[in-house]
Amino acid sequence: MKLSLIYRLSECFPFQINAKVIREIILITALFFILILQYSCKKFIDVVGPPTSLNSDVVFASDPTATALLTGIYTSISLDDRDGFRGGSGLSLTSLYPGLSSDELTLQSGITNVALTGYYTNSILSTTTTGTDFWNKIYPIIYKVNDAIDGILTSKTLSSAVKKQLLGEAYFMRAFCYFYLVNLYGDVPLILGTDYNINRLAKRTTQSDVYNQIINDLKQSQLLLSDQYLDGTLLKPTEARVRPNKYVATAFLARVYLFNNDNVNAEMLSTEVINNKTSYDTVSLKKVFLKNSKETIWAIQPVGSDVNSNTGEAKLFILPASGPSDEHPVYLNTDLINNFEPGDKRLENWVNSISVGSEKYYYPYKYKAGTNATETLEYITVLRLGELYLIRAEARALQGNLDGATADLNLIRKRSGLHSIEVRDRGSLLSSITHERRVELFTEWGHRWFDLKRTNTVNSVMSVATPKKGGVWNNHWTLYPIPLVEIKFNPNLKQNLGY
Amino acid sequence: MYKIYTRLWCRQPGYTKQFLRVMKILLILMTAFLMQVSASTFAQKITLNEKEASLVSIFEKINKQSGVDFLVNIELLSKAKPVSINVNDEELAVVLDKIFKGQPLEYSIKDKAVVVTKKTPSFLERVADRLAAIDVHGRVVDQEGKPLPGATVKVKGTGKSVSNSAKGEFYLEKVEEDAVLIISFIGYVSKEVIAKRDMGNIALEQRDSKLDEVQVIAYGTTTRRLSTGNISSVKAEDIEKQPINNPILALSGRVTGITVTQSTGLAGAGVKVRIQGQNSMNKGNDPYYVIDGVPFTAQLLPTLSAVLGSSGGEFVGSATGSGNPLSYINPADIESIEVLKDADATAIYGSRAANGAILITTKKGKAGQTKADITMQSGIGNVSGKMKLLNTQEYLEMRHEAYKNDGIPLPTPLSQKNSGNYDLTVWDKGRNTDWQKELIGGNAHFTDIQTAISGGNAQTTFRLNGGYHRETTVFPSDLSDVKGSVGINLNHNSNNKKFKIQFSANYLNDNNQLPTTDLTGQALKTAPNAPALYMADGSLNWARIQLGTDSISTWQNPLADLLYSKNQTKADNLLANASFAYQIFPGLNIKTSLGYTSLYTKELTTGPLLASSPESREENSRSASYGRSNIRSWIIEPQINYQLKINKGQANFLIGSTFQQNNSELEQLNGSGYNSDLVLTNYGAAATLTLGGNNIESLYKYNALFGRFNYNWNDKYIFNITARRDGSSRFGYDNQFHNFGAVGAAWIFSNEEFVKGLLPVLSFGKLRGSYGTTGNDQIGEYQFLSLYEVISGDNPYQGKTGLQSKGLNNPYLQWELTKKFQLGVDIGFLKDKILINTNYFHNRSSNQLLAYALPNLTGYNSILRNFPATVGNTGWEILISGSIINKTRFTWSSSFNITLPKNTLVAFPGLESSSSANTLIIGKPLNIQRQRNFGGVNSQTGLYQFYAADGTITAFPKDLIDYNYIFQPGSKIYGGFQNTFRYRSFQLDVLFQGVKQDAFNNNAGFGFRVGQARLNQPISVLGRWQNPGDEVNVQKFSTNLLTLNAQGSSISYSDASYIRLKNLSISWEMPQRWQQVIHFKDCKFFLHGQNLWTLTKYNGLDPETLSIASLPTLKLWTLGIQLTF
Repeated sequence: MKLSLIYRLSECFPFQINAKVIREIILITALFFILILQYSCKKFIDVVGPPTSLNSDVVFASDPTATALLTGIYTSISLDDRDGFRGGSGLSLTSLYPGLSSDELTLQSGITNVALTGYYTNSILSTTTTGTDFWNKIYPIIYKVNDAIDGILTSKTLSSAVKKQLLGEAYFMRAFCYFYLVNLYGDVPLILGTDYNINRLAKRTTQSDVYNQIINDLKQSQLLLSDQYLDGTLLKPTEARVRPNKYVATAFLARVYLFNNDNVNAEMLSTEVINNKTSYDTVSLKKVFLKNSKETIWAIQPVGSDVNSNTGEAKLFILPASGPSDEHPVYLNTDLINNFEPGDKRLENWVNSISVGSEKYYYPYKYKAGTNATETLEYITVLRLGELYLIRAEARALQGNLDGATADLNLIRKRSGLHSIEVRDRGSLLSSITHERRVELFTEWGHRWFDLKRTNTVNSVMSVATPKKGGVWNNHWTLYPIPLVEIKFNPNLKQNLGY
Repeated sequence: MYKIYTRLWCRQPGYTKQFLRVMKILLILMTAFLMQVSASTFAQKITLNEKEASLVSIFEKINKQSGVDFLVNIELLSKAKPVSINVNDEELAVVLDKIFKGQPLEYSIKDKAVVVTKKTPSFLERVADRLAAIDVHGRVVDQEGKPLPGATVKVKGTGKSVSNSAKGEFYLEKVEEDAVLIISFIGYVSKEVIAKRDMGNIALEQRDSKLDEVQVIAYGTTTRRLSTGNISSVKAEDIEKQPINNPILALSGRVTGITVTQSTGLAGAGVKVRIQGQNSMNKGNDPYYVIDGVPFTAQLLPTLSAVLGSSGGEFVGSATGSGNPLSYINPADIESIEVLKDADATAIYGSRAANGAILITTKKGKAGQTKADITMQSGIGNVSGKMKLLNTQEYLEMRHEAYKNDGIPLPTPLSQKNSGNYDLTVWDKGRNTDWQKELIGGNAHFTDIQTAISGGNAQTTFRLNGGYHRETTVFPSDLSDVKGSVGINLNHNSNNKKFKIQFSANYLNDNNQLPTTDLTGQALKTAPNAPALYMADGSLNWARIQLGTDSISTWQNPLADLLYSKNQTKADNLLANASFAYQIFPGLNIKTSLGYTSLYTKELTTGPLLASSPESREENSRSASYGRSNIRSWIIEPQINYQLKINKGQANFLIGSTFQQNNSELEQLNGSGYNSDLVLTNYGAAATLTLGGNNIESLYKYNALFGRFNYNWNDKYIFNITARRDGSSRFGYDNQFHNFGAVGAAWIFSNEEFVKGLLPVLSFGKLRGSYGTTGNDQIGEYQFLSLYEVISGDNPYQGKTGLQSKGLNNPYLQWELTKKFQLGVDIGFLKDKILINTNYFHNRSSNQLLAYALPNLTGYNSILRNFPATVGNTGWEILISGSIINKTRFTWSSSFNITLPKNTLVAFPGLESSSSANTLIIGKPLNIQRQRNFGGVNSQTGLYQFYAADGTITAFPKDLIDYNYIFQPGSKIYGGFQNTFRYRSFQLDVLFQGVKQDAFNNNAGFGFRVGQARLNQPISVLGRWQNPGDEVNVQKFSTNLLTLNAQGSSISYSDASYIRLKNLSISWEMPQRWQQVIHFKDCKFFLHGQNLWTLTKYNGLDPETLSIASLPTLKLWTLGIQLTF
């Protein structure tokens, strides 16, 4: 051995002699860093959500918080209904926009609001945001419902009674939302989960498939929901009819069956509701829209205070002494007023008018508690018994049970102070029912617009009505356009024809 | 304990053992030494006959004969005495005993190796040594013979050391004769001398090379000479010269690669800091601040008032406040600020430092006689320049012409009066007020007193400091910002220097009284003939007129808010940290540092009735808002540091771990329904209190393990690897942990012999480069969690509040990743008198966190997601500094720096279909703005026209489509030029700062319509269109012209570059003999100036704030004295 290497080692050029040493340095450092990088301390950095909001684990862990989710959905629909036209959005405008699109409402001339004129003259442009109001508000509700269903189904700590009721409410709400989407837009993407990566590319599903889902959801909710109206804790029955129960689902399913020409089921389910006399009964015209009336099957509670403590419809439709304005841009179509039979008490109870100069404006007066009310007198009625009688009348007539149909029809006519009609042929009976629906259900949740479409009378009616409103009717205008940004961000979506 | 810890393992050639084994054996050996293993017998017999032979040659021979290896430190051999020996066939142990007899060495046998170590003296030897010991005294002085108090004198190879006295003298007892003393003092080259009884004067040479100044880095220190990273520093001496209220402002113009932009001239103003450009498209771009090892917030929580302007915060999830948290740090307590720019310097901070890091080090005590420092200064500040605006005559001319152009009869005092014509119908046309002078023309008074007592000995040093700072505003009111601060710093070493503790705490209390609105906008826009501020009786003038039965005010008196409304922020900022270090054995140190910071602010804004015009007082109700915020964080960082010599190189291993938590809390309350203006400060007096919009309670947890390996071979080749494994509570469960790392290397080529020969003028040359990854986690808390918030109306649904989802959650959320590549060359000429430092940076940030647009089908219209868009920042940084003249009486040193940054959007897949389609262009900077392209004024109509996208000229360009002028704000080149002159006791420092930029100018006047009522304009509008055929750039005056304005078009953007005399400092130090007479150690008078002069084409008030609504940065002059005794 050469001991002189001791010196050389340190004096010579490092790269020459120490290629190995360098390799070893690298090795040891690599080892050292691998040690570091394998290390982790998950526990230390775990955080629960901030105290100012709740984490999903917590929300679905207890009955009250899970219940609050559904309460939140009703609250958000109710909040959308505030302040009349200006503050209203989403579902709450179903009484306004489809009413404008049909022959129900007249837009004050001179109003330049693009949305209003678009709906009114059936000339919505896909490039504007008009027509997006429903889509952009209803899909977020569907997301919340789907999220609730996922969370409730996987929760192991919810009590079974609450779990059942909440699932029932959620399935009902999903069906309710899709019913409006299908009727406003035609084929729509059927979103049943919460994964945005799947949903953002969803294709449109045919109307019949969407209806199948609606029917399934409603059947499930019928099975799950309580017979009684429950309070905010879901523990006690209450008189307020603001949470869906079994009869709400049944009544809505009756409507869905009618829309799908399943008249047997439509009749059967409406009978089921009508026969529940302890809960439901026809009440005098004045009392129909009062909160918790026996006519009400399902209503939404206004959640505002003071001027917002009653319905947005009252604030929107009730015209001030100065007549229509930007805030109150619509009044009832003369055609509708003329459609009321002489002596129809609905004309005096549910319609009011104001004269400005030589002009007389009729306006919907179903809801009477407007901005002057400080106490909550009326809730936003979504489903009521009157419609159920008309559903059954139509279903019976279509099945050939003309006597039964006439009886149901006359029950509604009688309440309005009208004479009973005799049993006639099916055709004229059906047109009587259509007429009755028009004057009974006007400015309620788009009934007229949907009826025109499902009875295939929309083209004949609107080709006359639209020119009167200053527009040109086209068969494509029965559906609203899909929002342009939706198509921009989802290449699988195709626009409705004509837009 | 053994002092020698670096050893070399020697083997036969071709038998070079694996390095790993070396390390292992090394450890075993260390244990063996401690056990004092005695020589065991070897079978071999040795025969030797040598005279005066070197120990090494003896070792070689024994090795040859017996195969025994010797493990020895070369340094030790130098102390060995030559050996004469004559043995024949003797036992190895016997031979070794003979060889080592009388040597200062001893040996032990381990396995087949003889380990040679320094001799541990036996008891008797120690006694003998004791007798041979001498007492040593001497004096440490500088080159001029002045004493250097506080210098350390250390006996080499022992733990013995002393610091010398105020006169520079030292006295060491019982030092071995011939012992080596190491004399060291900060800023001076250490010296080794042989101990004698009387050492006389030992002169230390000053380290005049800036290269050897200590540079603070993450978890350690280095020097400019040896650093592999891109780091810039600003020292206390430069910070002290600037009368600033936020230490970060001291970086402006002094450091390359960093932009520091103040948003207003108010005390506590927002300051936007960007290091090497904007990396993140829309999440945080703030650097990572670390004060004495403890992270500090870069942004305040949302504030009630926005008057202090933004600090460029871009957190997602919540807004950030106005103002800057670093204004709660006292600049006088800062020793140095280091700016860490590249991955090599910052990767050890992992996911927090993609935007660079700023390390702030506070002042520490120094050993030596206790000294007290007092610095007092006071001065004034004001708005340095005024905008040239229309005077009353020109203003009225404009108004008259506007009416004429509009074809409307000119209103007269007899016309119907309304708010559109009070200037013509009510106000005195003879008045001509310079509102800039009236409203922002005052002097802000500046008072600052800083005291510190420091001292200590070799074992313990301390520093106590206290400060007071008061600054008023330029507005006509007595608003002020008052800060009081105290601090303590303690350092202690145990007797044997093994145990070290350090503790420091700094506390600052701030009471900032601000205006609710900045009057600058009103100072520029108020009509020059507007009424007087005060009535003759001293009350506010509302210029009231009688209209029918009503008496109404014709203006909003600008002073009403200033005098009656309150906007105050009280802040308490505590920074505390401690560290405990222990040396297990030489080279191996363990350390734990602990830190705690708490920034508490309390805010109040009021809206009293007196602030509104008399007639609206009944309608307006009083209001007030209250805010409390608290940002608390703690951090614990245990570290192990191991240094050893490998070969000729010094290796340094560091392993550490971080545990950190931040709590942010904010409560805001809005009150209304008070029955008096006097009770607004009390929220209990409000009839109604509602929760404000911003209420935060969030927790950030952070945990990491980090390591660094640094290897310095003979100061020639330096190699640095850093790595960090980070876990952050801000990210999704699957992505909480991530690895970051960087490699840096430097080659000091000037230490190569061939370079020395080739380029003798070159005193220093270093080539360095680094590459690595860092992350950006500035995305706010809880972004990945699926959260639900309360939804409820005033009248809750069934009496119950509801819950709703806050949005789509993304559990896969990750940090943005920045890959940084940097190359640099550092060169020193003429004994480092001239230093040139060049850097090229090439950074790529990807995995951008963006709100990814979604169809509403998904429930929401966007989700926060990492996106493969890439942002690039490249550029050059050059710093040249030199000592130009260095004579005893006169010195001149100079420093010049320049940065050329370039920011580009490198890639953005799917840009066209994203929500950024209209704001970003691939290949262009992120901050571009698309504007209309100005096409002059139509010479016939007198109206503005623009170039459409197709090149045609039109008066009605289409939105977005015709926005074909692309404007890039922000600085394109920036730099600074600093000069220091010293003549005898006088010193002059001058710092110029320069920025090349384009900005929104006011070329087309203020506001939308030139000619509109009560809106004064810059004089440039006088070049307006008047008659058909006029070729001008300002359209005709009009009171209500509804055509497009030119404000948002290319004409509004122009050069706003500036060169500014940022800082001027003149000082005079009292000659020493005078100081001795009055018993001061040091007495210095100084004059400091800030933002003194600006050269610019920008036609607004200040090319830095670039605003016509906020106060420009103030010109400040202070006069002061600094005393040390």
